Amino acid sequence: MRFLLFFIIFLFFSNFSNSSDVNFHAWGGSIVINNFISESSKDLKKININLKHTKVPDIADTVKILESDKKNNNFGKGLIDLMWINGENFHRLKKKQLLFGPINTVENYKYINFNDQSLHNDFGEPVEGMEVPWGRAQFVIIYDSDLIHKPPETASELMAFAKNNPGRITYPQIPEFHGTTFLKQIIYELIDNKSILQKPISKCQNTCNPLHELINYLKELHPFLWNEGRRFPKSVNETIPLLSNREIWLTFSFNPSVAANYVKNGDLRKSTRTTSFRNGSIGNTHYLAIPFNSSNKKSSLKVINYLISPTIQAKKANINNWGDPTVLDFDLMNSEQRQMFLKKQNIHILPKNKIPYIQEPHYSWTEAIENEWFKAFN
Amino acid sequence: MLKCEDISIKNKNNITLIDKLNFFIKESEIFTLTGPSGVGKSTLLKYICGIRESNFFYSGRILIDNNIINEVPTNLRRVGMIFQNDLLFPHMNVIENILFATPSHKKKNFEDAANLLNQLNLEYLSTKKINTLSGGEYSRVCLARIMMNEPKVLLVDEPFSNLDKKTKALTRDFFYNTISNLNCATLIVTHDMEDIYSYDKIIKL
Amino acid sequence: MSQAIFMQLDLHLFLKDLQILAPSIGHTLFNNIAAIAISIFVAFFITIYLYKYSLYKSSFLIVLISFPHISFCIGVSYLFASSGLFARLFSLFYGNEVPFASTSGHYTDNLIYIFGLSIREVPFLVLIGLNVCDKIKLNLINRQVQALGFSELTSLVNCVLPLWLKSMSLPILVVITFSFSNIEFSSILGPQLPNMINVKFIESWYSTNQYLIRQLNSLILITILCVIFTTLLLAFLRNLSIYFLKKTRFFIKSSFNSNLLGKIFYKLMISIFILTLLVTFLLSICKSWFFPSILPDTLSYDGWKYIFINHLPIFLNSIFISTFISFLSLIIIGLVIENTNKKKLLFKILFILSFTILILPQNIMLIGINDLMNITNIFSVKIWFYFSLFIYVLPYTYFMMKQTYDNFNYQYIRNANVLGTSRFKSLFLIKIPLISNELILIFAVGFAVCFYQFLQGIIVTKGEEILFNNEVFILFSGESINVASSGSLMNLIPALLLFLLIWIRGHHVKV
Repeated sequence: MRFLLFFIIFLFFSNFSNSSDVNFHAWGGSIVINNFISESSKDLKKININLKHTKVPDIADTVKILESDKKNNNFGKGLIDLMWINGENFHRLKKKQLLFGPINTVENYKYINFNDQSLHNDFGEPVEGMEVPWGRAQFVIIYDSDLIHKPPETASELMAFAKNNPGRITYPQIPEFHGTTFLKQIIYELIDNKSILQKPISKCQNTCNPLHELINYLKELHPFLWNEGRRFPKSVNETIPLLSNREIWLTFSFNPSVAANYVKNGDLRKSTRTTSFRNGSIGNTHYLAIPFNSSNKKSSLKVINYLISPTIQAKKANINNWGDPTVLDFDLMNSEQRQMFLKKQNIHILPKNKIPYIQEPHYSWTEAIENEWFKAFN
Repeated sequence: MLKCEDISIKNKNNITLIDKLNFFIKESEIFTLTGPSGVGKSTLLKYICGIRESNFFYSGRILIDNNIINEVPTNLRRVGMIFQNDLLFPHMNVIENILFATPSHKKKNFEDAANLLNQLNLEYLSTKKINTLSGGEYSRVCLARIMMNEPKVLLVDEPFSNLDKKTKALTRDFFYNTISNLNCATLIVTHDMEDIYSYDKIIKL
Repeated sequence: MSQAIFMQLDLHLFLKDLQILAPSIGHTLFNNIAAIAISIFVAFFITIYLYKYSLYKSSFLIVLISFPHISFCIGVSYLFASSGLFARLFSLFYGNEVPFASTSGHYTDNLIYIFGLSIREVPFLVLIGLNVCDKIKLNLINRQVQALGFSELTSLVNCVLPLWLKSMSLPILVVITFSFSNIEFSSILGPQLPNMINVKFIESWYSTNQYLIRQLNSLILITILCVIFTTLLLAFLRNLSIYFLKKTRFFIKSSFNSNLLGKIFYKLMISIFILTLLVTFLLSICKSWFFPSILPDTLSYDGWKYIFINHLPIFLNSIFISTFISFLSLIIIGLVIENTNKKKLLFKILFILSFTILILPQNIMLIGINDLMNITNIFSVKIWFYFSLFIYVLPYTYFMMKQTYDNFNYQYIRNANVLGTSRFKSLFLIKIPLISNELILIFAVGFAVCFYQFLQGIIVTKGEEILFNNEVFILFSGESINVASSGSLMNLIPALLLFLLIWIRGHHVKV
């Protein structure tokens, strides 16, 4: 019994984190990204920072932990030091004052363009320095060019494609964010007055047309989906094996260059190509933020500074690593730094600036879209 | 020497099995306890060596060398007992079984054990595994093991009940020869009249 | 959030939820009851077959029960997917370059779920069933019935089956509660839209959506009602069939060989297990293996490399935790059983506790623990995590330890005592060496049970503390099949090695 007591006491004390530990809560669903983070943490060891990647299935769980921390008055000894967020999660944290900041004081922030609204507006919510841009994303279509010669690039083409090839497309189950983004993209395609999406959903009273049109479109589409729309992949990653085995012929992603990496790793066939909705596809920025009760804010700031440095951003943008587009402005860098970002052409990826970016709808649309979807199909 | 005074045993239904039994066994004396089955013979033996069964009530005094031992735990009584279903420890060989009761595996103990086996003409068994012994050999090793412990009182419960007729006769002779040379008070329980013929004194229940 | 359960249950809202969730409940009940019924049926025939011919074969079942649920699910999904192994074999004859579009919706999912769950539960039921056969003296019954001039099948159906089913109540109850709280089968193999309630449960637990959060209360109640309903239904069916058999006493004179059925089931079960293992292994060592190839296109060890680089710490940590917890529960249960007899209060409490843990759906129990953690707010999450693992190892250790002590011949201890050995000494010199095989098995079972716990990391710690098993589940929903398969195989290595060791030692030990 004494041994047991000893062990419990040992566990109790071992739980207090070391001063240079930075506990990084980030979505852990992608091997490519996990690899990038683990390599970064090796780098950071050189400046005495132990970056620990907690692979969360959905960052909303972390938001919940912080909310309960605040409720339980757990100030200053929180377990989370750094998080990777955007959109409605950021909005929730900002509104409830669960973030530490402003944190735009880090040295390498000077490479970020002050005038680029897409970096300073997160799903319609002003950032105000409470989070630091880390990378960009654009919604793209990944398809098998052996099977599809002319990929569908609008909502109506997608519908026609589905009807001609039943069972060959699907999208991740709501509320997975790729799935939700697909629905947002479809709304953009369906309606004429696109500016209404930039306003809160409360401005769209009573019979809210965009949602209504979306559900009608989906009701028409679902019978022609994979498994007749009775089963959905749980994540966009789950669609990659389906695409490689040609169960489905196209899928979606938020990373314009991810296909190259999949081909290189043998997860997708060489015939894989990337395109997107030709009238513009949803783009957003993802950010790094520090929770209000991080026990190690100083080191967290150092990690942020490291992650937005030109060298690391260039490494991140390289398709051999992650292929995530940079948030830094080329005009603010010197020529040597710019040189790092130049890369060879790759047939699997979506060329830069080929498809125009469109802004994410206001964050309040996300929950409304999800609720409508649940009501209609769950 | 073993002395029992006013020993009574009742079962759970308050039926008296043994009523105020008194007897006295001197050193190197052999007593035989006999009677029909269910009369409490084995229970009495177990009581003497300190094993109380939960569905019996006991009273009376047990003395060894004039010391009352009623409250002394079994392992300190120096009462050796050979049970009806006596078991050798299967994870040890014969010599290890015999050495088991000795305080430590000293060289002297080992020599003593070897001498004992020699004396009993069992030396050929010493490194054999338990599960390779025959019925007669098994009983003889049990006896050797208890002798090694040098008990002051030896209790034997139906020693030959598990043996066939031929082995029984041989083993019985072996037993009698060995026990009669021992310097301890011996009480043997049996219900088989054949077994009794040569023992010193008989208590009938 | 689920503190709400203790506050109130709004009947109106519950009925509304019941209406909304009706299709889910239908799926869940149908799938689980079918799977349980099939696994009992199959297990009975396999048990009879194994018992009649050679008991030693049954110890191979021990190796099968060490097969983790999640790895089994992943393997089964690789077999049955529309681009899976069976589809590829079919395309070999049909010549289609592209897999058929899967349009069958729920029905195949339901079938695959029932198939997967029933096959996976058979080894567990057979292993316990064999001991029950021992207890009810099956051979004696058979001989007596045959001496009266009736066939073996008559004896099995009329005499053995009712007795066997009655003695199997507890294991069957364990299977019932497992099937209503598992997340591996229902999430990987089960139907979607509507999901089974097992999956809805976890969705609600993780959701930020107010409506889904509130629905959790209804789901808890529905799960309990489903378990009660299934138990009562199966009990009713059992009693009905026993009554029917008593009344009609149909005697089968035919020479139908019931053992053949058992043999076929047994061989089939073993081959499914081996096939899933094989497919998973091939996938783990391939770089790409696109439809319609029967064998991998290119080989690589990247999957294993990735697992070793990224997941070795959590793998070793899980082994350490499981070893520690299994050992701890062995020591605690050993101390209690050694020091109390069956009439003492502590022993009774332990019995009731173990029984409750086994028959209460795990997801509900763990939500309770999570609530306790939030309300009391003492100790770190780590300790609560260990505690929640510990209480699921406890029942297995307890019941197996009790069985071991019941079977132990106390004459050895009496002999040792008479030879002057104290109780303490005889424990170490006699009892522990004599039951060492059983102790190793109990430890191994405890280890495997702990290593393959799944819901603790999801419900109690919400992902803050997890086992390697959880990591495998996350990998499975990733983009790389070879990494997922490597993880799934790595997951079964420790327990498999442990049980293979026990199997090779060749001691048939009773569970």
